[in-house]
Amino acid sequence: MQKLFINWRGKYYKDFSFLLLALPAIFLYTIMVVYPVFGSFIYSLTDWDGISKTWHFLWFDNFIRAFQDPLLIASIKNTIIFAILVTILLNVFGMLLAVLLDKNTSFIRGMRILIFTPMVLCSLVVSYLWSYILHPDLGVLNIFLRSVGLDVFALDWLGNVNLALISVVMVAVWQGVGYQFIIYLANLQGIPKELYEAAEIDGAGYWEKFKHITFPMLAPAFTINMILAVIGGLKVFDIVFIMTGGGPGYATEVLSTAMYRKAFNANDVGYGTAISIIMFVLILFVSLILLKILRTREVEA
Amino acid sequence: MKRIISLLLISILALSVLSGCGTTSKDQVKETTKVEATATKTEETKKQEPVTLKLLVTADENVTKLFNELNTQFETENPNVKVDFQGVPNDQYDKILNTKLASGDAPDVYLVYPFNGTKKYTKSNYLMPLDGEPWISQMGEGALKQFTVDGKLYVMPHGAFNTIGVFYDKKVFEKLKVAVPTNWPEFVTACETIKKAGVTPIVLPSKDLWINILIPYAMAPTMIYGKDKDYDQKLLDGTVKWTDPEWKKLFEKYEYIVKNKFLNDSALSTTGEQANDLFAKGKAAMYIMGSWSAEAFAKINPDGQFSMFPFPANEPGEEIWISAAGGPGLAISSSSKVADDAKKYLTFMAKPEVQDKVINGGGFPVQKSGNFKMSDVIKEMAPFVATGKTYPFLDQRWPTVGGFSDAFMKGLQELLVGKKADDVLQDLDKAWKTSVEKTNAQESK
Repeated sequence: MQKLFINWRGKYYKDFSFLLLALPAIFLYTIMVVYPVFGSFIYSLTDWDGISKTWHFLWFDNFIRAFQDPLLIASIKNTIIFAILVTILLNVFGMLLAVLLDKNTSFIRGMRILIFTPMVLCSLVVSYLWSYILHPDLGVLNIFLRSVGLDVFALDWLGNVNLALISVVMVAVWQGVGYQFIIYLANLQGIPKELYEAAEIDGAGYWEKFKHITFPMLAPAFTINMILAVIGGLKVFDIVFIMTGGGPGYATEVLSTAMYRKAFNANDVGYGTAISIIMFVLILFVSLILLKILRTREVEA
Repeated sequence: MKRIISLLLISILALSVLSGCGTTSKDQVKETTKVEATATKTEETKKQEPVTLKLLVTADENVTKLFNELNTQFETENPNVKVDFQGVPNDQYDKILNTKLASGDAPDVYLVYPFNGTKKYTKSNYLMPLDGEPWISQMGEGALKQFTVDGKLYVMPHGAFNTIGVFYDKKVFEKLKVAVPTNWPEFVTACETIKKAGVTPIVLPSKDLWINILIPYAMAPTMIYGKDKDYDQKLLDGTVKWTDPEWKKLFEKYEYIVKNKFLNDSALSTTGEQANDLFAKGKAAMYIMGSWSAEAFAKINPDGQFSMFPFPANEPGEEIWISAAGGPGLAISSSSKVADDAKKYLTFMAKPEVQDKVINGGGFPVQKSGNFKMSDVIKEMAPFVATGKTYPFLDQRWPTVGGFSDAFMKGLQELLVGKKADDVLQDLDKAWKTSVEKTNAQESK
């Protein structure tokens, strides 16, 4: 065990007093992260209602109940649809914008700021703002559509069962795209210009340059952006909670809103934490698998 | 030697971080500054230890203003007490209170809801029994009953008996020559006349989930509970089901309202505030709401003439019952260290002149005597309250764990998007069973 610690001269360390330096950080991490995580795992095995001083152990009943609960199955479905749509749209738009705006004129610099601005806003503000914009009668969007004669498209964006999830996805993309865009842009600027020059000499067009140079060279940014978007999509809460509250009915209920609903509205904290454990496992597995696939792809490229 | 010194230094560093996390140091600082402040202020206050009374209530802008005024009055009467007021939005209240209770940071005085709302907290001994307090004799028997568990009173009735009914715009009704409906067929005709005139008959802010529940609340006392007061007990025992004709008939009437488009088109995107606006500005003729909203309408449109009639869910010849219940009352935490001052605070709040300010004409007083204002808006509901043809808000008797109320509201939203009443009721029956099972399991502890 001692052999793990080697000082800069290559000699083994015999005392661990330097480990004490990490103690405050470890202590804080334990009480703020490790303890709550284990705590919630224990609560997920109980029927605690959030206020009682006692509870019973139900062991895995909460998990069995979860997979028989139509609410939860609907919310898993919605979460996955949401994550897939958000991931695809964020990356497509992020990459597209980065490629288009990879020049250094003052107009383009201004555009970059505009694209990144929503990212700076708090998601609460964004969600409330868009709830007002999307209101069918009083919202700016529909008033505009009606004023230009497009009454057919003036829909009930958040109140229509088939549209609500799409509307929320669009807002999430509007808000999040700046982040993906910046990462792609940083990566783009690291691609050597010689590659493009060589390709031009070979007679490559714009599309061919993108397909054979830009896209493969963006692999590192692509990996990180995919992972970030998928995780963000799977654990979405604030935008959905404020814009639709999971409604109408259960049309936009996602895992995190279902968890909140069960733990706090239904006083069923045990069941709510069981849902959060399911969510944790889902996110962990999806991101591990994704990371594995994308890393292999990066190496091949 | 060096090593020992460095070890020592590091452990001191670590300890200082730890103590920084604790709350004791902060409190000590606060306490000392407070003591200094009071000491310099006056000599008299020195006699009594200054204490802070933590108060947690649901509050919007108006309520906050009122409490600030009342608390200042209380502080001048009791100079050693400082009221630390925290007002939180209605739909967040339970969550914030539960978190505070579970983490041992209980407020000294807080709001507790009637019936099951009280039972929920007495079960874990969070409330201090209030038997023998001076204000008990002032209170009506019905008001006290709401907060009594196993023969002990735990909560001081506060505010008014609220009624749920149909707010209507008198000007619109007069203009369209619509009379106040007294039974279901008349109600349907009234809605149709209003709709033909191009006005929305009923505004429903379905986006605010909890408001969905008010229409069934307004209908159920007439259709179910007036006829059979023990219906909830029967539901709990399982001798009747949600899919039985009683609730089915009610849901069919609700479905009729939805299908005939008596509601605003964009109900699912409308919030409570927007609905207040639509109704108060005459864009909708009726709004099924609780009496507490009267003030909000008057504020938006001071010239408006609004009044409330009981929801006529009855067939011709049947009698109408209304939904009426006391709001939450004030309770003292069993772990309060300033219980005596908290009791003083309740005694102060129980004064008729204080309660009159709280109610402000917007409901029926819970106290037996005393001069209370009553706004014209709710006068049409008064005979029903006087004759006792009332039934409490339904969820006050429903199981508290497992999310039945939540499922109920969601089910109503699903009715709006076209799900069949029968299917919704079947879901509710399942949700009810889960909730009853969960609540019983909790109570058997």
